[in-house]
Amino acid sequence: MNDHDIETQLRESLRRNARRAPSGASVTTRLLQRVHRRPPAHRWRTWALPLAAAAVVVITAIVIVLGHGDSATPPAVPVTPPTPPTATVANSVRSPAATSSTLSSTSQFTRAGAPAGLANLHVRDVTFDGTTEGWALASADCADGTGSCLALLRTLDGGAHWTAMTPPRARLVGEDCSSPPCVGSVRFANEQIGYAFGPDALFLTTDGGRTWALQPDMGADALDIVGDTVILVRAVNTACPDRCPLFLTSPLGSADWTPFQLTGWPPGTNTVRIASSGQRVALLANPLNIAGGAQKQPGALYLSADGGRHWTARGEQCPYVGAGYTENSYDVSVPSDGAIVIDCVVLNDAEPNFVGGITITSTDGGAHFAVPPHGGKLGAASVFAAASGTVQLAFATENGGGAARLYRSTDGGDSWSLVQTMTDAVSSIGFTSAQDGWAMAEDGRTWWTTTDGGATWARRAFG
Amino acid sequence: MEGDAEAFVSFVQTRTPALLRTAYLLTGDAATAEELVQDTLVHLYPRWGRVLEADVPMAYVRRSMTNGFLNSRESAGREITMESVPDHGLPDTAAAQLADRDEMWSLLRSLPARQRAALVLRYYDDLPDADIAAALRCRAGTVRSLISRGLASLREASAHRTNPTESSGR
Repeated sequence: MNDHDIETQLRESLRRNARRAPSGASVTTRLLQRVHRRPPAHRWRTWALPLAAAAVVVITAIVIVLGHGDSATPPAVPVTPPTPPTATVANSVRSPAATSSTLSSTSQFTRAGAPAGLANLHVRDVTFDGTTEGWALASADCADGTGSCLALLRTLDGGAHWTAMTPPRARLVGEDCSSPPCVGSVRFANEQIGYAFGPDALFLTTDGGRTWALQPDMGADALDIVGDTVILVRAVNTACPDRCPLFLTSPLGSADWTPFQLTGWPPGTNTVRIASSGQRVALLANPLNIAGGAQKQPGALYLSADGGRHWTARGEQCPYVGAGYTENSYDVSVPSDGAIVIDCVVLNDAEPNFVGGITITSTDGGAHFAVPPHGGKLGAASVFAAASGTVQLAFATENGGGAARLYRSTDGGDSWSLVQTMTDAVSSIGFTSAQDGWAMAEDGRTWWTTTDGGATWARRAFG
Repeated sequence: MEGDAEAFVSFVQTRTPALLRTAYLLTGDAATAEELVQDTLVHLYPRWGRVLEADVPMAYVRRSMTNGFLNSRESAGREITMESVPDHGLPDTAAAQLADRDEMWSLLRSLPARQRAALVLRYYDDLPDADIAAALRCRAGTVRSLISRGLASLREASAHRTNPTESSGR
């Protein structure tokens, strides 16, 4: 039975069983009885706004007097932040925390629990600059209690403690983006200069996140900071009549962007990965669509050895594995030892689906990629990273399991062993050195860290 | 404000049946589906003006309901990951036993909650990746992966039932 048959059966089964659902009559009656006992909450908001704002001013003043205003040094004792003011709502983009920079330096939380101002924290993206300083883009309950808002967090101790920062005035990609701008990723070059971006929005801060400037008509599917240069790729440039891709570079912290060209860009590319270490940069274009049908366009790899000033097109590097199967580049990693590692996924042509994968590794700057002699036997890895050319990590969920199995190779992907089964599906993984790494769970709250190249992992929680 | 309340009543009266159908497909149980829909709408009622600001209020509510479903599964304890889809579901009501005659339905109910939700939203509600991603609070790529893995599990389990001696895999 192929996927089409399964899909047909599934649709029929769902339609058939949906008829077993209870009728709405009794539910509607009970529901209206319940809610008619409580009026909509926003009736009291008009008088609550000045009260909340005044409370924040008072608490902020107390915090300043107590001397906790230095954002670079979180207080040793967790401080419960004040209730964020709903008065900061503006331009239909709401905030989970006050826009005051003083507040951002005191809104600390630890693994013990998120503060009231950041309830229902759901981390979407994590990035580190070195092994200790990192940032996380998240959603959290809005200050006015009307849904979820964008939140930005910072850690100075490798993620043991996080401090709330002022986020850009934007929404989170994947949440309610009916009122752009929306961002889903964050990158910082240092404690001052950072970028928050989504496919149709780009924000820049040059003052450590105190203010964010929306870059007009910009957006990014991938953005990486390589030394003093920022590399940006927009897979679909909406300003281009034929939806051409857009490749830009910029001096760090500058709003001036310069286009560059890449030849042989695969049509239909929907995923772009950029990985770098030092001046070595790998950019992977991936048109793969595993659920949308058999789209067998190869991916394309582009390499730069000088921080993005010059590029070499290397095409699809994943090898042909045999009749009936297609192998596609899925992800790329450039660990600190300068190796370039590509995660290749194998698809069954007859039933377009992941059926396995291997990694291929280059130790000569991308001139040659070595295929593991024993085939890797990685399984269908959905999340991948390399701590080095030889130590590689991959998460795979097998047989439909919701948890993620972490596999590790210490021989360049030739053999893999199960390290452990995580309690949650994993959405991303990264290494900040050959030893230090992190993995983020899809639940947006759980994450893990390693200090031994992925051999052992410690579980943490954002709230 | 009064308009919000009126809009809420109108929404409940017209949209509850559709929400119940999706909720039933998510939960597999009539009583739980009713509870899920009620809790979702009661939770959203105080912020109904916000719901109305959404491009598609129904999508907003469906997303909240899916989140509620996943959160309830989470708080009830993590689902046990199975090496393979079990041969038989665990029917808890007569209706479920009848439904289990539908093999695909039985297999679907044995999938992890997030996979099941992704499949229901795609193949019953016909939602695109972006909307499913919003409902599941994940990336579109993750949605594609969930759906792909869900279909693979259904296919493997179905093949196993057809021919239990035949192993599958690469």
